[in-house]
Amino acid sequence: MEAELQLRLNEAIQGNDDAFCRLVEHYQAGVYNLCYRMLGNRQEAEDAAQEVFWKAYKALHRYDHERSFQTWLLSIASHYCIDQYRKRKLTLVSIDQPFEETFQSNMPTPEKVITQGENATSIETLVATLKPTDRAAVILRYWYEMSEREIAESLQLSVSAVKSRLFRARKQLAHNLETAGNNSQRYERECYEPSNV
Amino acid sequence: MNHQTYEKWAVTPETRSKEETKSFEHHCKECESCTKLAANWDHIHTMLNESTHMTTPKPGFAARLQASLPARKEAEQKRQAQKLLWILGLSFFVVLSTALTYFYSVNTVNNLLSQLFTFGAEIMIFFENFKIIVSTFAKFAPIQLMIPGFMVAGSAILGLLILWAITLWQFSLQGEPTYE
Repeated sequence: MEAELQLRLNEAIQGNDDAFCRLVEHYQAGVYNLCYRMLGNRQEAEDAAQEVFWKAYKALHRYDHERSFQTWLLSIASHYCIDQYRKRKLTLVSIDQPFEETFQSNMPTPEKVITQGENATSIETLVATLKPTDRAAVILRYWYEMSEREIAESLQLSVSAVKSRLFRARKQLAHNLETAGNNSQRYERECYEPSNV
Repeated sequence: MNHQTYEKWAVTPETRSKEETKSFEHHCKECESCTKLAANWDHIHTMLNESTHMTTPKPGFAARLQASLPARKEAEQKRQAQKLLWILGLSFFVVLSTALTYFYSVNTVNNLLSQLFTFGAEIMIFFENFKIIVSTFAKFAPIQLMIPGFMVAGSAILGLLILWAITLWQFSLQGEPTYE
């Protein structure tokens, strides 16, 4: 299998589109899943994954054979999704509204998340509250079981930076879980108080 | 030991040694925030392990990408061509601006105008002389030499014009072929 993929990769580098599409078939789930976890929307994930493979196609001749092809693809996908997320944030900012107010209103805070019902405490919503690079680090760590060194390679960070981002992300996730839990209890109390029933 | 170390241990229990675990447990008896942090992280960790399934794209993902490749390549080539034209245009502008700035810095406007008129007059004189040379040559050259001469010169100019037009047309249509 590995030898066949290597053969396909060499053919793709030489300009064989069919070989490239066989590679896409093999790696599509990994790339799509990362885009979906980062962007949280199926259509956006599909578009992003297509764009990631196109970027990879254009840069195939620059691919370093010392690196794993999957790690290389996931690296492109992480950077693309981080950029997309930042662009999305910028386009949501209206010129008529004060920046801080608009920015905050678009952020998926745990308080906002809890009002959406039971899904609020799902791991996807909690991960969505992280900063894009921290989120990418968490996804690569837990969904792809990458080591800190591999995450550092993928996100072009130092290993110590990855460690510090993972620590910050874990702490924030734990804190957000608590905030979400507190709000959930408050929400339930407000709904079921005798005066409201 | 500072509090941050305990917080780090709370969210990375797998990295703690036996002594560190003991120390952490001892600290938790007094510190409510670290106890909560460890419990919440434990919950998150379980959730992470339970929900790490892979989401797959709709069927036909690779086929959709393959179908879009020709259009993407064409768009990329056009983008490359536009980029090249912009770079050439900007370079020309920079060179021209530098040259003009230099001329203005070393000459006065009157001086430049007089040089411009002198240059124009010299060109006109050159063409007048060229006309005289050509007409003198035409008077004395045999007609058998003149006709092929005009044909060769005419074909060369026409060929160059056609080549130039085709190159411009192809370049604007397809751009520079590249995979970058």
